[in-house]
Amino acid sequence: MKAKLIDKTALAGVVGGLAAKMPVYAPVRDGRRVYFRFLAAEDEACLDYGNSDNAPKNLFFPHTETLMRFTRTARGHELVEDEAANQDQEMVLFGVRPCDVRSFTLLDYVFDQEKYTDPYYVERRKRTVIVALACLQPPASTCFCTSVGGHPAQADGADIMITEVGEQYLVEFLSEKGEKLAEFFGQLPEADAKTLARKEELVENAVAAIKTEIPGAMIKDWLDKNFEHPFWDQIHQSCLGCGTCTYLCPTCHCFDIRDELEGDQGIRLRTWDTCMYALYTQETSGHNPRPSQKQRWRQRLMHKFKYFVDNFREISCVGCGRCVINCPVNIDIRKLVSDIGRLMEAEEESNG
Amino acid sequence: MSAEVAEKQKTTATDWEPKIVALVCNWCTYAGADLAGISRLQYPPNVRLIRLPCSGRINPFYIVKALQHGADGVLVSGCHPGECHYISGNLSARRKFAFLENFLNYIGIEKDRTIFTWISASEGDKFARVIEEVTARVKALGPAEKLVKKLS
Amino acid sequence: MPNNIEQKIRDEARRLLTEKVVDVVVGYEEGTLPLLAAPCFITAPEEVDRLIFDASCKQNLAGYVHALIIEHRKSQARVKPEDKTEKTVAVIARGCTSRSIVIHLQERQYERENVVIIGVPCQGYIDKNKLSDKASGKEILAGKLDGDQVVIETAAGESRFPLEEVLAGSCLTCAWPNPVISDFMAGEEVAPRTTEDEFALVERFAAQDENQRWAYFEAEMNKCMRCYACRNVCPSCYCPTCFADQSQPEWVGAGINPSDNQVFQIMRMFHMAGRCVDCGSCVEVCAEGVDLRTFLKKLDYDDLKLYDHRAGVDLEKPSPLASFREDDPEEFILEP
Ligand code: SF4
Ligand code: SF4
Ligand code: SF4
Ligand code: SF4
Ligand code: SF4
Repeated sequence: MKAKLIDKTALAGVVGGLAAKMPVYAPVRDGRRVYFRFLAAEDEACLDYGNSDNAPKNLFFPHTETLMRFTRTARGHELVEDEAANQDQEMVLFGVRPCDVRSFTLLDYVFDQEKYTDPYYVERRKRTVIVALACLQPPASTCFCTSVGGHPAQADGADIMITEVGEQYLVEFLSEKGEKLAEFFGQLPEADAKTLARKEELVENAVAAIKTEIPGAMIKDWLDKNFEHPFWDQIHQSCLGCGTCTYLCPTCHCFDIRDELEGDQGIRLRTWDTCMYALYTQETSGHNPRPSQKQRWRQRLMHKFKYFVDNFREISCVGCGRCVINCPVNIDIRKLVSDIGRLMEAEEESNG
Repeated sequence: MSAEVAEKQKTTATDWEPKIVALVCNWCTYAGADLAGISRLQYPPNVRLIRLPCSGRINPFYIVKALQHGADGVLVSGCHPGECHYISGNLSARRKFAFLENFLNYIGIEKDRTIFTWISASEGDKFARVIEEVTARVKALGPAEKLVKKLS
Repeated sequence: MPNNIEQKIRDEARRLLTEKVVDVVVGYEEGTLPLLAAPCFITAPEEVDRLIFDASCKQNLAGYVHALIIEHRKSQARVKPEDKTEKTVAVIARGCTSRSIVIHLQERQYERENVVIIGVPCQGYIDKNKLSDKASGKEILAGKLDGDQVVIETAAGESRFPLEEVLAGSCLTCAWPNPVISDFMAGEEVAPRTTEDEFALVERFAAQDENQRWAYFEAEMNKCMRCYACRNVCPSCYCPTCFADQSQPEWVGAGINPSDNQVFQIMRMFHMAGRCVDCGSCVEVCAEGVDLRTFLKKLDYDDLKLYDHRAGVDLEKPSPLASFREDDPEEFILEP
């Protein structure tokens, strides 16, 4: 691994240089918000942001995606070759926070399995170089990556890791894919031992600065045994059943598929869907196995903290805090997980 | 002709002809159209009639959907107030249409994209006149662009 | 320390629950983020002290009243008629909330006896976007209300400003801050805002040219991620199956397509004609900051100008689309 140093002021130029050569998906300030999107000519990547309002998963798994095109003809429906779909250009995903980098590892479990490979996701994922940006200040007081297996300078999954150290950035090229972009950074001096030590120190501070602690890994035991429990009657009442929490979640990955037709031209679309919608499990007969928001909320919590662990041995929450910040009725997943933790303690006490 | 070619012709040809959807009630306007036909009155062929039981049965959504899926204009017509076959269907409808027309215009849809009128069963001549007028107005606006759905 | 209104709310809630007048009290409690109260559901007298009421209490709670009563009715579908029970819900209601309840009653969703209205005089609530501007986009680490002032703390330090400066647009022109119907009032009525400039927003917008208006509408709708929080929070959006969720016919495409976004919002807003109480809840819940109010307010405007009606203000006055007059305005009719 090579660790290099670049001046703070020079980084914007590097992003500009990349954007001139290939599509760069990076955080852009748009009014009050910061969104990951493809940099347009007039855009500037926003480098001093906390965390983005949307999740960068959108690059690999967008809300709405055309899977195929067809034409209605006298002979029936015929597939149309979609040229735009067969691009093989490299892309850069720039400035991703470590929690969101981790979300890709989790999404890979779902979309890139031996039994089932999602060509759309995998294709884009393969040709994208991920440049991560460590959080030396936790972006928000709602961050809790350290409670769910992450950490504010975690580099796993990134091809290049950038860490702010004083007036410079430490740039680490972590993979072959990352190395290939080294030329865009120019001739950089190697980081000296002092800077590397300083980095370690800063990272330690960052970890300490995360105040939220929830028993993320612990509650699985309880979830295993308590599919039915009065707890579930309490948590969902104010839930609007909107898609805010799951649409902004970097690890949520549920989708729906539909066909649309305009004249004789048709497309097969994939759109996000969410277990928070009543419609999500509605059957054609009208029967809904998750008839109320109670079952839907249980599903969301179970999926993140139990089912995903059962399937892939990891919690599917990276602690970014987006659902906490944006839930319009302040249903706070940190609180729910902690409540379960307290329930477990109470149960343990009464048992032993 | 592929849809693409059709699209091109629509926007480039100088003799572009608008596509107009007319939502009409069964008892008055449709009969009026019939009369216009029987009387062999001439009017532009741009209008596709959709017959509904009553103007009160016209879900405002039909109007918006027509604009979304390629109509350059929408004409809505029912019985004159006081002459509704179902007594007051058109009076309820009038309020819906007023809200919708004002709202669409407010958000920036051209006023003449949606036109509302009353035509009775005996007004074959008015039917022809209205179609003439509506066609001319929509033609003057050019092809609809706002609200039109393009597949992603 | 509970404020005056809170004390009265809690006492009344306690009484209603102890005397078993109601099954549940819907109100607001302190949330986990600064200056953001959460809706809460109190069923036991000993829990009433959770209830709060101040400018951090945002959503219109009438939607919950509707959902609780209707869900209960559904759960009774297979119960013998003589064994059927009714659900009674108490709700903390400011002006807009009470107006939404009036709409429910007018639309025969439940009976007046099903709901106990604990009225609160309202000074308005904090708009999250305006608040975030006050913090210059920095995270608000702590916040509190201090009389008519708001105090927030960010990494840059503490700042203080008048509540008025961060009140929601709806609240700044609110003509009905006090409940229009109630069973109990938890405080002195407050003065309504002057209504003169209530529609200034609409008039300003309408004064722009057509393409400017369209450009704004288009840009706002492009922000929408189709999460449906706006619809789901709206007390007037209680349809068992919304058009947006229907698949036969599919009224509107489910994807993020500019046209589908526009059509979704046009039709949802159209369904608010004469039924929007301008509570601003839809605006407040939107994570993408879509300006819905500029458009909804137009329907409110026409409701007043064309039909001399205000949504949910008068139980006796039918809503515009449920009534008509022979001489309704029809200037928009060609060759009338
Ligand atoms: S089931 Fe729910 S929580 Fe799980 S990925 Fe899907 S939307 Fe997210
Ligand atoms: S964002 Fe909040 S209200 Fe919306 S579905 Fe999620 S938990 Fe429920
Ligand atoms: S709440 Fe906002 S983002 Fe969600 S559907 Fe409504 S307008 Fe769109
Ligand atoms: S948008 Fe219309 S159909 Fe949908 S819930 Fe609201 S009122 Fe009902
Ligand atoms: S449309 Fe919005 S402002 Fe109007 S009643 Fe519904 S939630 Fe309130």
